[in-house]
Amino acid sequence: MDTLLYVENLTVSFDGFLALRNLNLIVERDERVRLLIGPNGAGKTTLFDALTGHVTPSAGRALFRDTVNVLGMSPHAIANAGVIRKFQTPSVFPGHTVFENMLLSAGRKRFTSTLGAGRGFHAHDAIVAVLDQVGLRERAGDLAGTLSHGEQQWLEIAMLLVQEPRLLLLDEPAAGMTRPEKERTGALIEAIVERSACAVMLIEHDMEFVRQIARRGHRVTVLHEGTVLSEGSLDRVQADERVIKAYLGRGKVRGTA
Amino acid sequence: MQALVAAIAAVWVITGLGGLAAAGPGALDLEAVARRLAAPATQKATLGELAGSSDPAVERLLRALKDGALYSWKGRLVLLGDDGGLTDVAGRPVLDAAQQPAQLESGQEAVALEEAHFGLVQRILERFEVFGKDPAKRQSAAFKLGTSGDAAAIPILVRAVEGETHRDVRAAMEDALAKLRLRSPDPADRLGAVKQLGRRGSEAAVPQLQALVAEEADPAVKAAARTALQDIDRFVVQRNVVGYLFNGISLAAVLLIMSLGLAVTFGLMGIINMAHGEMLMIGSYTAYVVQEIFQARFAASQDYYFFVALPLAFLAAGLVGLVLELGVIRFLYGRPLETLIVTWGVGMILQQAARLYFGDQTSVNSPTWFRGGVEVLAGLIFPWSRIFIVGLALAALGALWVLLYRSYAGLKVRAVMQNRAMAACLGVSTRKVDAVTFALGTALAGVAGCALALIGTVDPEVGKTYIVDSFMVVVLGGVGKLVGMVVASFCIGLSNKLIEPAIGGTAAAVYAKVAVLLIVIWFLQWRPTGLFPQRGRAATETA
Amino acid sequence: MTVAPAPARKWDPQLLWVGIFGAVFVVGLPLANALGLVSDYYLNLFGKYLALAILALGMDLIWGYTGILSLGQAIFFGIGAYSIGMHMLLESSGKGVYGERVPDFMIWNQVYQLPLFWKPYTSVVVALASSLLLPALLATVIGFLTFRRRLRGTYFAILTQAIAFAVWLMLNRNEMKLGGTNGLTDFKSILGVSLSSPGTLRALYIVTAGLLVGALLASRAIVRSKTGLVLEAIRDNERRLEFLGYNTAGFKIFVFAVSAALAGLAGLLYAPQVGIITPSQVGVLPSLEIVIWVAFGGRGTLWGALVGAISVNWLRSVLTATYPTLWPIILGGLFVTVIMLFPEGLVGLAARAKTLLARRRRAVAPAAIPASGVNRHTV
Repeated sequence: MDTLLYVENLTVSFDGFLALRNLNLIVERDERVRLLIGPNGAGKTTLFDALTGHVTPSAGRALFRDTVNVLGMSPHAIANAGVIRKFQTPSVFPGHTVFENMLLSAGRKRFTSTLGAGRGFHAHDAIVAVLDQVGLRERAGDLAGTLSHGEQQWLEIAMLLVQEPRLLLLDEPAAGMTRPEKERTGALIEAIVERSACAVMLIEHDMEFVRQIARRGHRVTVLHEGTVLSEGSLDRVQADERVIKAYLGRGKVRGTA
Repeated sequence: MQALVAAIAAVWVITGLGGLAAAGPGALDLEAVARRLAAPATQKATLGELAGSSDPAVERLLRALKDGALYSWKGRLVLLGDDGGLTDVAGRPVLDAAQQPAQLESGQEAVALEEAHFGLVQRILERFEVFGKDPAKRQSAAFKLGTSGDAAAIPILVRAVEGETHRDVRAAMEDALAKLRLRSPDPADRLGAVKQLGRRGSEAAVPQLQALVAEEADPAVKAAARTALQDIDRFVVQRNVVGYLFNGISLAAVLLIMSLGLAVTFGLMGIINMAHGEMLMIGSYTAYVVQEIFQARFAASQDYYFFVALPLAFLAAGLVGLVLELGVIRFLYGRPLETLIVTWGVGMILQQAARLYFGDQTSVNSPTWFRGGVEVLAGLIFPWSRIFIVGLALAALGALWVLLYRSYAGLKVRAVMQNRAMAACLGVSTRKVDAVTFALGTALAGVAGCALALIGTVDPEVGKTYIVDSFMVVVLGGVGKLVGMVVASFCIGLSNKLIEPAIGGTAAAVYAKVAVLLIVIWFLQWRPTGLFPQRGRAATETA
Repeated sequence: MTVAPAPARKWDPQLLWVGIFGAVFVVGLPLANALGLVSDYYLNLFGKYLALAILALGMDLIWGYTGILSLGQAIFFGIGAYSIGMHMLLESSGKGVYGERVPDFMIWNQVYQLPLFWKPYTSVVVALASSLLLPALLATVIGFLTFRRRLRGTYFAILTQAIAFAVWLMLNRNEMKLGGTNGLTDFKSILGVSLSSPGTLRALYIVTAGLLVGALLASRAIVRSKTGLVLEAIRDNERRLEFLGYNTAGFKIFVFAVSAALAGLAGLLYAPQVGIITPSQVGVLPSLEIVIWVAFGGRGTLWGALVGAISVNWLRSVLTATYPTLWPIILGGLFVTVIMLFPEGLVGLAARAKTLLARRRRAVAPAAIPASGVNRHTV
């Protein structure tokens, strides 16, 4: 009784095309980071979609913290249960200020508790603390749309953190970033798992970024054609014949930096 | 002179013999009959003798008598024609001694028809109508005889049935005969008649059958009459259901033909074009204008206007659609609600412009070959114009399907709608595809408008009556799939026309519409993306 | 340089403008009327505009702020107007030409007994409740059926449009016993006071203006709360908000119900002042017209809704009198031009002019750099 996420026989079908087929995956509670890699179309994003109520699976179950089956729950209920997801492209509210974006993420989400709350002072300290963590405190009054691409990604991570998640699903958080931005993002993720009780599940294509994260011995899961191909430490999966085969034609695993 | 008289006599004898031959057994000596008719003392008795006649000469004679066109001329009885010429009772012209057309003396009085016998003559003449040239008149005459309860008409009908070749008229005559035989003194005759009426499902015989059930002494006939009534009831219900279904299918075809355009603009492109109804209006007015031009210039080939109007409506509405896309819609892609508001405004402008130019209401004459219809069951007629619309809807559906799914142009369209950026990378001009696709959608509305002009009035608000229903079709069908349009059209069309009679009353159509709307909303609870939704990652992300 | 927004509520200078607005319309105009400076006709006209401004406020909340296009607002307006209309007719029935205890129009339709659903409307409390709560209730039901199932925004617009169309069709029928195409008219008194006296109309005007200020303050309270922030976020990216843990359906149902109640209130105030309510005011086009008022004034700002409602309706009064046949074309043109060319409306234009002026002034005096981060990049 110490698994954080237990996914069993998860199948997602799009008009007959099986995006996920009988996928099984276990994330332990003491595991802080889990990396998901795999070629395009392996079903990585679809797995996140299914876990957050974005698509309806045709079979399977996904127990969160041993009790809650998140499959079949509505997106907002899943979010409130503690499974929070970051999209591939930054999706902040560009017409609102950084602070307002944080305000939307923080605090209670029930309608009745928002009616009395003002726009200014609610959850102020928590927000400032998280903005400090991602280094955006100075930009609190700016419109989110005026931030750079990297800053928007960090704002989004900040928006996730202020919700106090149990499981953070990050879909290519470093995509499109410059090298220094990537390093800072990696450090940010390290800091998150160290300072909070939150586990991170991470989709990544950039092998250098994967190595940067995985050097601490975090487990790596390789998805291929909708199912788990291999699992273990980075070195182990990189040595796996099946993985090398799956990546053939795209260059070797090591080569895609 | 002698020879001439002999010749005339010979001709007279020959034609007289011909008349005898035509009249068959019981042929009459027309001249003698006419003489007795002309004599007041024997008039009534003679009329009685003629009651069962089917001789056209007798009809001519009686009609002349009734109209005051029967005269006595030099001891013979002659008939005065509409042109003033005289003919004898057999229909030959009457010549005077100088071989010129004979003239009546001025002031001469016609042979009098006794006032009291007028009705009798009228009735006898009506019987003759079952031998007339026009099938429709023969049919209605047979129906009249059937309801007259006049037993004397039986032999006439028997003869008429024998000579009748038209299927529907023959059926009407047999029905009439059966109705008359219900009063026959012979129970076997009555039984046969009852059974026939029951088998035929003759609704018109219901009162007579009910009377028979009440009065009949013979138990077998009585029982048969009861069964016959039940049979008729069942037939009427069946016929009504077939009628409702046809009305429903016909409405469905109208909805389908309107929704096809929306399937393109809303389903494929995601544009809510509120001016779609006005595109339909443009199609209707195209039909009207073309008709007016044909009436003024090519009156002889007026009926063919429709074949000119149909492609012109397609082009006119397509052209307006193209202008609308280039001038307005292309600035609003990805903002469906804004498009809705703007296109509504465009619709208002077009509508009011039409009202100012054409006035409030006009209509289009159907080409003559669309008038009338097919009688599918006794008393149930499917109008040709509606059958044509069903056919046109199916043809348009087929054409659109081929265009979208079996042509290169369609491939480009679908590529752009599914992945705009990718299609652009492959060298497809997405701007051009957008504009042409939208124009295609509005052009289909133009065709719909042209077709609808056949079954309704042409007025500036013609589009508004259908637009809401068509959008419901698209929502119910699920965007992006033609099969959804077809199924949804039929669901909405049929349920409208089946709910209507179930509610009844003067406002049934309105209540049926409301009921269908509620059903659609309820259905969307269950399947929010419609009957045939698009699935896949792309679909859910834009949802 | 930038500091996070201060964690305390401050005095809001905009309230001053609300006060000025209130002073002019609630006190000033009736006073001028009493002194004979403003004619009864114009006061009544403004009463109508202000009632419609309440309607526009509701539309602004749901469309301008939340981005939901409700084409059913006119139905809610109609419920308010018909409710009070029924009450007023019953109040004066018995004084009709036929002397029966039913409204005259029913007698023309050979209805001699008051239909059951009319009976409660003899009570003014029922009529008021029906004006305000029935629209909110109906909106809640519609919202529950549509938002909860996460129907797309376009589907919601199409469905409400279909509902508006259906209601319009039904109201046009005499069988509904609501006056058919003629609607309800010939109101004689309200709360026992004759509607033909200028004093009553002035009182109605003051009540309308007062309630408009009240509605404005209530709407402000909503949009300035965190709820308002959530509503704007629903407009900008609803899916994203759901992944933040918001049950957006609840918020949408709330704002739909509030806007419906405001529409009902508008109808309640409109009918006695204008003296007639017909099905032509309860359909798809009237609903879309409200959208245009809001768009013209400036969506997403409460002042925009007020300015738009008053100015477009004033324009309509002027133009329908001079060019009645051209009015639909002008209105249609307004639909097109406002949305395509001035999406921010009058208020947006004014704001842009202000920034432009400010920038010019700043160019003159470069020392005046604002401390706020919002404008930093514009310098």
